[in-house]
Amino acid sequence: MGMVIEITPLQSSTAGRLQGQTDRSPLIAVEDLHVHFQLGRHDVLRAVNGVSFDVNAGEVFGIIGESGSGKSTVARVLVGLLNPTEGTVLHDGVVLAKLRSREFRSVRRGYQIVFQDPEGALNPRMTVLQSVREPLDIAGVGSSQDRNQAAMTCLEQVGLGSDFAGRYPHQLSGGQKQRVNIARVLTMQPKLVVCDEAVAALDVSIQAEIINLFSELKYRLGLTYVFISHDLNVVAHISDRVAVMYLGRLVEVSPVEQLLASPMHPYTQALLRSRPSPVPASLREKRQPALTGEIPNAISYPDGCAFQSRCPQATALCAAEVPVWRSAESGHWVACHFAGQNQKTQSK
Amino acid sequence: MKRLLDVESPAAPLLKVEDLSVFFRTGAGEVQATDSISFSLAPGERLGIVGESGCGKTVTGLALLGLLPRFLTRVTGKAYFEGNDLIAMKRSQLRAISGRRLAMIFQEPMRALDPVFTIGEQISETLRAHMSIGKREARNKVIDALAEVGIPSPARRYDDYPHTLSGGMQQRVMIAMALICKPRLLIADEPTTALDVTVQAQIIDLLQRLSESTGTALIFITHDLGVVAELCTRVLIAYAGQVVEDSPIETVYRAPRHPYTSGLFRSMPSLGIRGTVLPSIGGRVPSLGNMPSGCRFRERCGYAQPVCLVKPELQPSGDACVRCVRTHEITLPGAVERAGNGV
Repeated sequence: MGMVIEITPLQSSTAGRLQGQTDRSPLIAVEDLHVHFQLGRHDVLRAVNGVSFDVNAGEVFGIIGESGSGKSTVARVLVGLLNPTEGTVLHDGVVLAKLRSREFRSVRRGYQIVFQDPEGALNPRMTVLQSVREPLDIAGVGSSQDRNQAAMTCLEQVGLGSDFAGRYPHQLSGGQKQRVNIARVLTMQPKLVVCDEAVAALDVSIQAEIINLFSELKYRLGLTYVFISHDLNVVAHISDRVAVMYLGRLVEVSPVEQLLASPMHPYTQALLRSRPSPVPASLREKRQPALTGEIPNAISYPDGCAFQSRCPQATALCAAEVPVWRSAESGHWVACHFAGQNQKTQSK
Repeated sequence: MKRLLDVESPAAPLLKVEDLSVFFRTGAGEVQATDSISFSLAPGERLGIVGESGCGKTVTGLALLGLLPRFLTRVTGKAYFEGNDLIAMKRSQLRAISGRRLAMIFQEPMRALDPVFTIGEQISETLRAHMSIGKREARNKVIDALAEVGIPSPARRYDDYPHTLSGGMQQRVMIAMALICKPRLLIADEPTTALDVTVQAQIIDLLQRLSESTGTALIFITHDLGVVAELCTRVLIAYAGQVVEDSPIETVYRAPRHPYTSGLFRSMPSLGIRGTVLPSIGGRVPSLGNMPSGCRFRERCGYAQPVCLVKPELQPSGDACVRCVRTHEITLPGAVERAGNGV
């Protein structure tokens, strides 16, 4: 049975903040974020080109996209490592860029990030304990003994016992190093942890352990995550809502079940199709052909829809106009001129 | 190299690897990276070698092509390629066939391409090193090869430098270069790992199409069980330097015989099981210098028994070969039922 989807174009710009289903004010509110990098005299790289979304306290907000789509740039803005070129980002109602440096540092402590390469994020000449207590040392919390105590507690929370405290990074496996990085982040008792490809460099069995650790910490400590990855399987496993990013813009935001069951943007549909499934070809339906073409360059940014060069459904309208955000079902947003017209939606 | 084409019968394996072991010389003495890897490959077959980092899959590929530094490594065993032992070959002999009869592509195309030559020059260099053909003819062949791997306007692209191409296009150039002399065997080491998922799907389709149309056999080294399922006809699962399972693709995904293989499948996050705890394998791969005696997976294995203290051999089991003494006593979950695509 097909379900009729009603497409409602957005009227006001405030409705453009893609809200989840709670009434509380969001922990993070991003509105029309642009981040541009000047390259040489004439070229401007538009890494992020008009992105709006909210992250509610306690949820896991996934961002998926290919390399060059701007997802890591968004991550850096969320933790105050980069300033927006245009647009606003509210951290619990506060604009980080407007704070004085002292306030800025104390507010920013609540927003932490875990990077992709666990090795590169650790100082090879510091022991695990030194690395984990370093943020506390910088923040100047309590006595030296308090800081050691706090660091040890965090190490225990990530499953590393006291026998790891004196070790150096080269004595740890990749998974253990990533645990140390997570412990460091926990010392600041963050409101939000941004995980930027935090499991991409790990082997599959280790990756599973770290994903489980993230889930466990979320429930134990009430953390909020922005979980960024190129791997749809990983994002879908851990997230409550998922945003699909393409060339500096979001193309679809949706609760994860709806996104998997009825993806509306042609790019999301292609991502779901391209995902290699661990079932041999002879034992399942034939996969549809992959997308042709490649992600365009963010320097010569196209007019109209960013996906038009690879989209099987692109028309003249797509080259002329940037598609506006529309809401299909509650909480499911898509930016495509033809979304909802060209495919059936599966009913549950 | 006159005997190269002496293949006795069509059923003879293209490549037969016997007890291939690689040793690294380190400051603390020699460590063994791979332990008696054996497998054979028929013409046109697509074999996946799957394992986690450090399991010896890349080292095996490099050893076959003689690409390991000789002063730091020692390779024992045999690898008969079209009847000739690659391991015993002199450098000059190996150089005459690599690039022509067998070729390799790597994970990072940007590092494998020379930034100061155009892509056309680099591909035609391979061609002209192995065949006596003129520059103009080589150029035409290269343009055909670029078109074959799906590079748009290949005649113009011939004169482009590598940095002007995207990662996916660079990997296509590498594939064109590897296949320009129509090799019988292509070894691909994680060729899609650095690429985006939609581009990865294109490259896998391309490799599959080319291997089917030219009959080139493929050894596909990867950690990604999903990619293997898309592309390969047979899989070797490697763990801690040993082959633990050698199975046809349907068998391994439906009913893996080794607990490690099953553990790999179960720890993959997959759509539709959101919010559950992923079953992880637990523990870690033993280090090269400190391999346990007996079964190397024993300490991480949920099925281990005292009998596992004895070193297991790779034994035939149905249409597969498995290195596990308990394989007939245990039933292991595979990937097929979990993905919900019931057979």
